[in-house]
Amino acid sequence: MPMTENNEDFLNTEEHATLALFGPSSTPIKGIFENAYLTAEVGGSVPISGRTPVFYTPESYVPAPKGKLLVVGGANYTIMFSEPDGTGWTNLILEKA
Amino acid sequence: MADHVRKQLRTAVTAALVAAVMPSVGARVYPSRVYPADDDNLPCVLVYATSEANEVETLDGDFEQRSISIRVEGLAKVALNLDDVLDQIAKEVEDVLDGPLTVGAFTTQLQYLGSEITMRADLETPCGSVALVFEAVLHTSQADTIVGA
Repeated sequence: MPMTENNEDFLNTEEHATLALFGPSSTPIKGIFENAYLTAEVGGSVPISGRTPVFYTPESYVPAPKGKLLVVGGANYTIMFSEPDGTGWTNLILEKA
Repeated sequence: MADHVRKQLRTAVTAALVAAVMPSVGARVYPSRVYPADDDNLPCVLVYATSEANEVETLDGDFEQRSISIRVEGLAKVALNLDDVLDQIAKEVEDVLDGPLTVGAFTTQLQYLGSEITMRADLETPCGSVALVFEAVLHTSQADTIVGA
C-alpha cells in the first residue's frame, strides 16, 4: 500500500537518514544507508567476506536508477538494481564504483 | 616418523605454489584455510587434501596405493572481468602443478581432473572462486612411509 505521509518526515539526517548524491548531476537525496558485514558462499571451502551496501529511499527521488552513480559518505557506488517494496520506497542495491 | 602422506603432499603442493610467486595471487597461498577470506588476503589460493582412496597392493597387506585428491581453490573479488581473473588464477595453478612434484624422497605427477567456477554478486564487489581438482597416486607402507610414486 503506497504511503501517504511526507517522505521527509522519515528522513532526518540528524537521526538515521544519510544525505547522498544521485546521478550525473549529483542531485542531493536522502535515504537510509546500510553497509552490513556479510560472507558470500562462492562454492569453495571458505566464504568471502565483505559488505552489502544498500540505500533505502523514496522511488520518486531516484528515477531510472539502474547503472547510475550514488555517492554516500564520499564513497562512489554504482546502483546495480532497484528493489521497490510496494510502498513507494525502494532498496537500491549498490556496488563499489 | 614421517608425517601423514596427505600432509606431505599438501605441504609439497603449497610449497610449489608459494615458490612460483604466481602473478595473480603473489604469496597469498593458504593451506587448509577454514576462515572467510577478506579484502586483506584476496585474491588468494587455498590448498586442501580433500579425500583419499586406498588399495592394498600386496597379499600380505604391507603396501598400499593411495589416490589422494588435492583441491586448489582460487578466490577473487574484483569489479570487472571476474571470470577472466579466475581463469588466470587457474592457468597459473595448472602451469605450476603440471610439472613433477617432489614428495618426500620421491617425485610424483599430479593429474588434473577438472575445475568448477562460481561467481556471486552478494557483496559490494563481485566475487567468486575457481576450484581445481588434482589427483596424486602414491605408494606407501602400512607405516605411512612413501615407498614409490
